[in-house]
Amino acid sequence: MTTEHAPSIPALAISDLTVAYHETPVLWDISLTVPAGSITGVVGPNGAGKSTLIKTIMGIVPPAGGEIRLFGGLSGKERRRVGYVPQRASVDWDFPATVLDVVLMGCYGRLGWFRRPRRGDLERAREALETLGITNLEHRPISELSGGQQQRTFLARALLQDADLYLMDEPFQGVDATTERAIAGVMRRMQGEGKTLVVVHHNLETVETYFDSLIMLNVRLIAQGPVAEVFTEQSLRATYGGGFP
Amino acid sequence: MTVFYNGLYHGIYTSIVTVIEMLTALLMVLIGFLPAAVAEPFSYLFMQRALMTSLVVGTVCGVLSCFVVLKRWALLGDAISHAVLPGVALAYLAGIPVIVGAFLSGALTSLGIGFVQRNTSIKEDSAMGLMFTAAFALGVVIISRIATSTHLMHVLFGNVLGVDMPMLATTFTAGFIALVLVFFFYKEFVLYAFDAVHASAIGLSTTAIHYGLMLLLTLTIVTSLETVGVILVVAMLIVPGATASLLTRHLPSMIAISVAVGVTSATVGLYLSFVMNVASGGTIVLVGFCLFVVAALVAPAGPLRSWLRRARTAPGVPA
Repeated sequence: MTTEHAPSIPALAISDLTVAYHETPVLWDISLTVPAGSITGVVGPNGAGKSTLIKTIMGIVPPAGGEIRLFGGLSGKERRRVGYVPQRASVDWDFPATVLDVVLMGCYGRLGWFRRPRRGDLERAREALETLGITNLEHRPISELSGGQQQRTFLARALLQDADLYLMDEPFQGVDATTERAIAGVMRRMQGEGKTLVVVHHNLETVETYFDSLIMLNVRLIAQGPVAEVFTEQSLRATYGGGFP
Repeated sequence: MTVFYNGLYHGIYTSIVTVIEMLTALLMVLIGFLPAAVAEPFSYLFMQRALMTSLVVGTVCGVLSCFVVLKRWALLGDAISHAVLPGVALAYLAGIPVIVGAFLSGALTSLGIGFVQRNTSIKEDSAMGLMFTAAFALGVVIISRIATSTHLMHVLFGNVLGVDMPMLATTFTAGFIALVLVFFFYKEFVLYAFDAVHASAIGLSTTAIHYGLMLLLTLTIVTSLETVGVILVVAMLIVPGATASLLTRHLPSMIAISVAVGVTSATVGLYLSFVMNVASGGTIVLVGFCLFVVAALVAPAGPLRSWLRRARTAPGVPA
């Protein structure tokens, strides 16, 4: 992190982004940059637009205005380099699939239409399972997983995507302490491999432990920068109003 | 040019008929092993055609039904099945293949549902109910103008005993295309059913998958038109998949069980309707429903297992 090589292209650069649902702005005039190789937290109260920000970057929600650059590029081509880890509750866990089935979905984007996963993909899926410590769950139906195991499955799927920038929507939500430690470890490891992580986060107590830099959001951008600089009582008050947790 | 197309069409039709006749002959050999009382009705040519139709419909509906149940498309299936009616009638009038008309009116209706949703304050379920009943009403009006009420009854409720060779060839072709499409796009359909957002995040066109699956649904409905009819086809799109989902948590086994349920209800229903001289479409659906009830009772989470557990642990065991 001390390396001062040539002005590197940020993994994510957003300027003047506005998103509205039915004419109510959810995000208003957001401009920010995420340096490559960082782990950046996104915090803010409920309804601050944290998930919307992630979904807009992924192209799932259309912006009303503004510009999103991924690795300096504007086209959808760079989106292939972005991995998305949705909230756990976004899918139906009663679906008849095994953990391995779900993890293999991570390579579907690279495979494209028609092609089926091959032996190489299977090996990489097993590596991802091992990294997340769920090798023993490989053939378990996903309906039998605990919350922590579901989250580990989603993360293993993301690893298989082999993206350069990962957007994670509350990966620590409702998981046990062991899983939280395991996920944090995997995040550090991904950073070590040169990945950039943007993580929507709820628990303010762990912000300083997990993140290098922080985006504080409440429809508008309140503060952005290294955690040591922006994680202050003043900016917390501005983000959460009077009674921040 | 017309001569060429007629020749081509005739050539394709003849080869399809040949394939069907070969499969029928094979099937008759198998039926020969059954007790004479069971095998006897199938000595009639119309029963052989009905049996072939039932097998195709049971298989295709069994496969598609898994996706309908998992994607929670039961209401959409109902909507499309009603919405194909005006297309069927107009295609019949214009002398073009029924499948083309059925797909066009199904697709137009689903576009209409989207239009009502976007441009009015009406919610999705009402928009669906509104559009598909309107399309269905239009179909009933057109058919009442061009055909007898018996014909209308057959389209609405199916008449598998009256299937002739051209109808069977249509069913067979539509069913075959549907199965081939599922085979090639299996990965995409499963991903779309489980996590559509992930599908679009990794760059697959969810619009293409969505309309592809709708096309498949329409194909399946056309396949089943002669057998169970427009109104009861939605049962064939829900019952097999719902039954299978009670018994397994593994998608390939779910599809296999679903096909077994579809084929069993279609063939047993056909046989019973012949023996008891009752409506075939209704009998097929009722057999399917009975299979569902049995599965619900014996399923791992069903009441029978817990009764057995209680009966085994209760007597004389102090707490």
